[in-house]
Amino acid sequence: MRTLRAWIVRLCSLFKRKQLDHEFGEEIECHLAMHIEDNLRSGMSPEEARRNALLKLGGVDRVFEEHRDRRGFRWLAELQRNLCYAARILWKQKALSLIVIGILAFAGAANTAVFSVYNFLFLRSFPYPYSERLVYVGTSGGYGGYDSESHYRYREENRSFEAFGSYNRDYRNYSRQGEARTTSILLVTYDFASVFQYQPAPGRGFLEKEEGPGEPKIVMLSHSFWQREFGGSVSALGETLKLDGEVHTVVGVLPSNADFPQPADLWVLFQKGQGTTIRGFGRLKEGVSLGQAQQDLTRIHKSMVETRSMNDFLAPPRLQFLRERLFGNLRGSTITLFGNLGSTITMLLFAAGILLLIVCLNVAGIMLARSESRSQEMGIRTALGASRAGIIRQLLTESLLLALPGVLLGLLMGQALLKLIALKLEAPSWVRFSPDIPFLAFCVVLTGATTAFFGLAPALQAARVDVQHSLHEACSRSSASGAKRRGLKMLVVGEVAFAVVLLVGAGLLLRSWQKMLAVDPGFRADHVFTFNIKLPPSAYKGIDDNARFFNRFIESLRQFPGVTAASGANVLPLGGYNQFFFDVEGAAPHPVAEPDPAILMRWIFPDYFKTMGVTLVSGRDFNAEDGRAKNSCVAIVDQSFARRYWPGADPIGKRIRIRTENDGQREGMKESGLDRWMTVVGLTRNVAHYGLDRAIESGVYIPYNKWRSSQMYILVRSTVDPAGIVGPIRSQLHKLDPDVGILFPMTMTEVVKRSTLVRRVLSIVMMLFAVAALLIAVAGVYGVVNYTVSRRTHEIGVRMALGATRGQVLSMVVGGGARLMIVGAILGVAGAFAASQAMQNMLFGITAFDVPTYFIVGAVLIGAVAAATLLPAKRAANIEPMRSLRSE
Amino acid sequence: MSTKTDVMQGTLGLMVLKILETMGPLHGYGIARRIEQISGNLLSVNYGTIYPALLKLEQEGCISSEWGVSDNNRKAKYYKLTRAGRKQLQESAREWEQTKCILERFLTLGEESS
Repeated sequence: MRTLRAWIVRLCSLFKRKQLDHEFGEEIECHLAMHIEDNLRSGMSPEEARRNALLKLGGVDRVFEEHRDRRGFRWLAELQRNLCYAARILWKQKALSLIVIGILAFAGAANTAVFSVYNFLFLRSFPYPYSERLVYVGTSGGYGGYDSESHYRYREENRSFEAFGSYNRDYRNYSRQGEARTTSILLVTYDFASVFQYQPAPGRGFLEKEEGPGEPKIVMLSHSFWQREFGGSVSALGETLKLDGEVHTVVGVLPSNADFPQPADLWVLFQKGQGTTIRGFGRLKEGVSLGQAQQDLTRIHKSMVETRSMNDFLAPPRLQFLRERLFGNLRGSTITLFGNLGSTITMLLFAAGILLLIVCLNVAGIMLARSESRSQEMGIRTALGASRAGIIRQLLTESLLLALPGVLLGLLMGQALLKLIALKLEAPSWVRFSPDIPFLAFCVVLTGATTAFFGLAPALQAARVDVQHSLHEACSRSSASGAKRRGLKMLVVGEVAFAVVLLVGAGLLLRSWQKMLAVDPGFRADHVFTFNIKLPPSAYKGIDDNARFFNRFIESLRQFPGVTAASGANVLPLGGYNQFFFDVEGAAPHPVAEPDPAILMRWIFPDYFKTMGVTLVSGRDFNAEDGRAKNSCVAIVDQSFARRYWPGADPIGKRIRIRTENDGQREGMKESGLDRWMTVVGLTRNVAHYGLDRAIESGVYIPYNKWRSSQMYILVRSTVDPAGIVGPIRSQLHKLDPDVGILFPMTMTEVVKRSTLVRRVLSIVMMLFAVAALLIAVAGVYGVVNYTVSRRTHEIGVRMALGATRGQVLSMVVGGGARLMIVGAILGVAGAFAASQAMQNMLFGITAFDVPTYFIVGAVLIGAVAAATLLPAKRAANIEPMRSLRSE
Repeated sequence: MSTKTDVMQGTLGLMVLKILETMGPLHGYGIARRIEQISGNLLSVNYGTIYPALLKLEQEGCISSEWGVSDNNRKAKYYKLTRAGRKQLQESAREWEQTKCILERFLTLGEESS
């Protein structure tokens, strides 16, 4: 306790040094005065009295020194001194210091940016209350969601959740001031907002009693929609919106942060009996684990299965933490919308770490070379009594003074970069990379580790100074001590090795990306323009209504100038799931152990294959008759399907049927005749539907008007720029139905590009890291070779005087650089072999031992050797023997 | 060398406290003189060493200081025992007593065996 008090007092004293010095001066002065007075009284002469008093005191300066030591902290004062000195030294070598800070800033930016993303994805909690207890409730199998009755049972009977709400993401045609637009909505149960504790303002939230069937339809506006459409005016409350032709009343406005976890323009209240698939979000009660909640809902599900007739909505519930739902996990076992974010970010963390290592090695080399030129200074310091530890502390302070601004600058650069990316991707408000405590801790550790890493070795080396030798050396022209040169070379070998690891990693990813782009997707994406249309169910009541509209619309598009083909489909390649189980006539019943594959089913309009550029291998396309005739059921299968069920046989004329789980479902299919056997009339090539880098899975096509579907992708193949036909398409649609808008207008090329986004970004970032690493390593090799040449000018002069040719000198110098590169490359390849094993699951189309990648890296390294050594080698070869000897 | 001053400082602190207890508030010079006198000039103390010791005690809260006027009308800094200092003095005195007893036993043991 007393010691603590003393510490605090000592710390405080740092801030009033001047005053305390002055006070102590007075105290000593009065001490001396009293002593002298006493001495005079005892009969000494004035001079003797004064001398005696000073002697007894033990020297004013020393007393002051001891007093100061005791008053503050000696090390703090030393640190201050070191800092001042270091700043002066670094300032004197401005250019070098700036280069060091610059490359440290680059590595710092890479590391802090990658860590920020990692932090956001897997560490920091979402900026919403109790976000760590938020759970997503979907189903395993079925449609991925449940129906409204299950929702009410889950909500009423669960013992695990504080709040539970369900939702479905959907689209509505919304017209205001004449132009139809499509807006995104969330269909939510009344308590959905309470899961995230959103407080509507202005206005109110939904009420439980308003969920009843027949109650008036109501909506809440998102904050941005409110600003955009109503100018943020309170008068929006009570206004009515026409969504898909139905009148909805605005009751409230959501807060601006309510774009979590799913942004949408509007929240529409879900009402009992609406037959949509919904999914849920729940907030766990304190202390309830995910497993317990899972058991809880499974229990409710079991009791439902006993009492209700089975259907596809009744798939068992599956719970996930929200974070895992959004981003996957670090084990990489969950694949999200964005692929495998866990392994992606882990790899980037490692890559950034390696880059930092290379930078540190490089800076260590610079420091080492610099300490060389300062060995005389160190010698003098040691001779004057500086301790080894003192010199190490001094040099580490200099390193810290370089690392700190480097990391700080990098931090700012990284943050700016992330902000730019978030802005460009229009990230929702909860995507934040701003610094927090773990992030700052990371930065502190980063700075410390960097300082220690690049500062310690040179400091230790410098402190091992031999006074005699170093003072001597300053006068002689002998070359650097062997140990120092070996140290430099080791650093450079390390740089090259790590750079090779990064190069191989980036090379493998680039090759995977290239392989992926080279995959034949099975369709021709060029010149295809696509958009989505959703028909309001109130105006288009059945299959026929929908089909009639789509047919008319597509037919009118075919008349457009420049349009060569037009069609429609329920899902686009690389853009969605729609899977069913099929029975195959005459096929042996499937062994139980191997579950039937789910088959992708698309309902398409005639001319789909022509528009999409999918090759029809044999048979025929659907025609207008196929849809109309209720009794004739036809299907087209792809080669993968045919190969699986009729290997070696012609699939044309074979029959397949959708497997129905229960009577209710079969009843529902009767309307369109889908419950019956369908005859295969055509065979197409496979389409890489789930991603260019995923395995091909079997698919079946059926005519569009066999399935009731109010939403459809329209496809247009044209010889003209899509930008030119969007306008006419919009006005054509407006002519047919002014209440229908278009959604997701895109070219298929964009669709393909978007599906490769993660791989593209990853490859580019890794390449950037690798190129930076290579440049730094080359600079390192250049530095060492150059340094060696300048140190050996004399020796080379002697060699040449004794008859060495310029060619021999050239090859000697280049050989020295190449040796470093080769040793580094061998170590690097060994490291890359090990590292690439870990990234096996990120590769596509190649193995981790991809020979071309290693060849390319080898070629790049040879180029790098040339770049790093030729210049100094030429300089060496141009040495005039006479001059270099004379200068001695 | 540093251990020696440490011990000295430890005992010095105790001496300062005891002097302040018996004599009341006193300035640095006075305390130094008193120590010299009491030790019967056996301890030749550098008067300067008293100041770090005083500072340490003050930082620990055992003594407090304020500027005052000396007998012959001179401005001087006076040190005064605080309540914490009094407690500290009792504690240290007891500890020293104990150490002294233990050491005495050991020393006499040595005499007996010889």
